[in-house]
Amino acid sequence: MVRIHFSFPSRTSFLPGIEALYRQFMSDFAAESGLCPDEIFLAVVEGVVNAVKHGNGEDPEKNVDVELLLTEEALHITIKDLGKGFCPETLADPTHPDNITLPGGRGIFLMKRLMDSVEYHFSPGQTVLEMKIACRGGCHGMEGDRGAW
Amino acid sequence: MEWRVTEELGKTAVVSFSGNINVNDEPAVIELVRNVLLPKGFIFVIFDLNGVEYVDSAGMGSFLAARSVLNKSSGELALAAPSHKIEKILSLAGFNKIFKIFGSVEEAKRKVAV
Repeated sequence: MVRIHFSFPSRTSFLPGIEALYRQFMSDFAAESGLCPDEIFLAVVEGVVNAVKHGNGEDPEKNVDVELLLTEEALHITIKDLGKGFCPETLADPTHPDNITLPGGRGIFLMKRLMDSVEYHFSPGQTVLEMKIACRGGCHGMEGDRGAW
Repeated sequence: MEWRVTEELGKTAVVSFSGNINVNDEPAVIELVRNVLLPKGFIFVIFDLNGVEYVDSAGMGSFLAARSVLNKSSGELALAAPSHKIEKILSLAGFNKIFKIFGSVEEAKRKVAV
């Protein structure tokens, strides 16, 4: 089991640094895992940007925490912000003809299609996003086919 | 993200992007169309995505916003030469239904350029 954790102020300008840490982690520890680094990173980006913008409102005094935990079986990604949360059930399908030209609303949709599981947990003053993808399962969308999506 | 106008053909401009197109680049993509291309009369625009590593949902939103700006001037935005990975993610988001996406810039020029 290998774990990396980092915390950063709520600024999307940290994305290049997050990508560098993520790529190093995947290169050093997940090269033989069968995981698809590019599509997982896109899910990480979507989760981080949501946490920075919608969760913490881009307040640099509020940090976003990211953890990557790699086991023999799966990669677990946890992203925490200090937001009030939201109701995931109310999110519209961005591929529906009524929504497809709207500028936003695709982040969680993409995460759900790129990862095996995506769960939000809300408590007062904190939102926790937990994503998981099994090792050696192939890719979902960008790097191959991994079942229906 | 970096961009440069690589071709100017009548009312058509080809813009080549490199790097990532993500939330930090969203305003620049829209400003490129509104403040750089449209004032020069380029209403048909081809985004050459050959050098792009990834596009996130905000980057996709910037394509929609750029297209909307061009549509208001009776123009159009086409996407060209995406990598296999980016083509997949665009399809996942349904963009293959609303954008003209071409396998190469040459193909896009043949079908879009005015």
